[in-house]
Amino acid sequence: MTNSNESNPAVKQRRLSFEIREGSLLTKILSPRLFLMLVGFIIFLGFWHLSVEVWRLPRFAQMPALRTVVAEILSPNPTYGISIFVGEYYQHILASCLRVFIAFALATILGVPMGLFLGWSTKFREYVFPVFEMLRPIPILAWVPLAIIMFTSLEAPVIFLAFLASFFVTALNTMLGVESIDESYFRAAKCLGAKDYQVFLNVVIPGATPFIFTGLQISIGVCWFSLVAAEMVSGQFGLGYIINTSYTNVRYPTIIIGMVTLGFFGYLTSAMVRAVGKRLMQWRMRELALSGN
Amino acid sequence: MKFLSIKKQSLKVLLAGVVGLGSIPLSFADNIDYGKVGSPINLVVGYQPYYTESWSGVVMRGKKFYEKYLPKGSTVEFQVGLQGAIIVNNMLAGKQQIGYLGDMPAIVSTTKPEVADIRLVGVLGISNDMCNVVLVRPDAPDFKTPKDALQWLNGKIMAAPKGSCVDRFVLDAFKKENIKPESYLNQNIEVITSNFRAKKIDGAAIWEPTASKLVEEGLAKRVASGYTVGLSDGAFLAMRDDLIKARPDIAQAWMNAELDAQLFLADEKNAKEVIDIGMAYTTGFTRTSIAKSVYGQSPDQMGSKVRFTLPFTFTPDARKLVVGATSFLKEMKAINVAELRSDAIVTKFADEALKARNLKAPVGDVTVINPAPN
Repeated sequence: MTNSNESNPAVKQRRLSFEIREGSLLTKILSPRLFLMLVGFIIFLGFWHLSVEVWRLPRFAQMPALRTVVAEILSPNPTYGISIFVGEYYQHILASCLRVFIAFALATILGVPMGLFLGWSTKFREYVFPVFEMLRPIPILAWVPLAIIMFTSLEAPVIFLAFLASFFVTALNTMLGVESIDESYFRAAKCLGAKDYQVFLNVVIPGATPFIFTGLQISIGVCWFSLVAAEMVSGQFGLGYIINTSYTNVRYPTIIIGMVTLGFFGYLTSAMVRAVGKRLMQWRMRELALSGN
Repeated sequence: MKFLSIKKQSLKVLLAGVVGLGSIPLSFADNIDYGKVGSPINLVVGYQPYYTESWSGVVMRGKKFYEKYLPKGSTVEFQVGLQGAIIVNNMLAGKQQIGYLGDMPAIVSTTKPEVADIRLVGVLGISNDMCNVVLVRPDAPDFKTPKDALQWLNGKIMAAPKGSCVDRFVLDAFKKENIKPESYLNQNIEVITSNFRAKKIDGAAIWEPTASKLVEEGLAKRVASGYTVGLSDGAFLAMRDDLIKARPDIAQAWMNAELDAQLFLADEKNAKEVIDIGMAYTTGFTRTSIAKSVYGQSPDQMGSKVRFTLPFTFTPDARKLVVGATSFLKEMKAINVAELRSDAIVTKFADEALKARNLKAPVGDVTVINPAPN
């Protein structure tokens, strides 16, 4: 026997909203997701330890051991000067986070409208897309000398380099988002007498939003991984700077500390973007749930 | 509840797996096969054509002195390192067996025995202004003395490639002279050049021949050097210990060839050929800047006629430089030891080469030639 309430879309929608809101800490702890994540980390760290210290696999044996890196990062008096007890470590983190935040914000502010217009206006696309596609594959490192000359301050080239790769990802995903909108929505809006700006506001932007958020998640990651190249220019502070300087000073444990910290903050910021996306995309989840997909 | 029991089960399996795998006593660490004593060998040598003080490596490549001493059928591949640190990383990874290095990377290379055992087997050069050159932007004031120029850098933006020989010089010189720049940036040569072009930095410390190039191009002016603060710089020859142990014949052969290279470099008659060789293995340099980097003279040299000395083996001066630099690097947390381990320096091959030819260290000097040959 079917409960009549269950087939009622309004009830279904309310229940879904409740379930989304009520994801308690306990539920999260007991969920298989956290467990599987921990297992993933254990396997990764276990393989690192075994391959470097126990099995001493070819090429792995020369890598810094897990124990050495952990001892260094937890040492109040680290051999190479960087650990969680050293203020300088947090200065580097802060510098990188700030750069990534500015670069990501700029990439979003400029990349999303650019992508929307590229997807929406054929004429705009014909003008801009070939140049866009020609610039997109150029590696960040190739931009370094020009970035130094283009900008007057020392900080601007670093942000520009981190912004660049991120901008292309955001714009391209947004463009694909617009392209993915069903043509019938545009026709329906036109039939109902919608003006161009109304189509843009009510069809293009909401229709492309899922792709925009996918793009933003990739974009923040790209921002972090262009940071090492970007911070080669900075000359002081930043996680990329730590990695680069530790390479030239042959300080392998510190390289790993820089990498792990960068990875951690990359993961954290991606999760934040994902969470914002989920929140703003609840209408989409409801729509999918109601359509039974 | 069902999920919790699955979790427990998986955890047990995982723990058993980790313990099981960990107890497998494998050891695959790869040993490099250098062949038997007397057999041909394939060597990969890291050298720095963009560091004049280590130019016996460039001469070695150009004149192929090693062919006379290595077993017939041996091959030598020379790989360029734009900075000593790149060569050190390659040597630690076993990709290069012999390296021509500035003082700081050379010292650092011996402090990583947990990765690979690297020894210093020879001294390529010692000077005060091959690595230790201070440049300022061209519109900086004309200073009365080099010390005034250093003081001008107080509160200014200064750059140098960290981890290089010049990094040690800058840190030490600034400490001695109590100079506190607004920022001390870690930038490689290319970024420093671009930043001088963009007028974003006030000063930089850099080594020859790039120092002469930047001055010649009008991007910077030379104002001080190691002479100003009494700090010397050096370049060293490093070898992987597994090569030394497995093939002492090769270590000896290379040192014999290195002696030829240093003697060639010391002979003023070869100046033109040295510049030819330098030009052949560098790009982006004019003949004038290459010549000036080896044989030129600047006011901050305080009249010294020696550009650099060729000690070949560890003379008291070379040892003094190593001891002082090592303790300083430890203080700066660049390395984890205050003094080198006793076996980090191996002199027997260099000493043997000198003895065989009845020579004494230093084997010569590269002197100022005025005007510099072209």
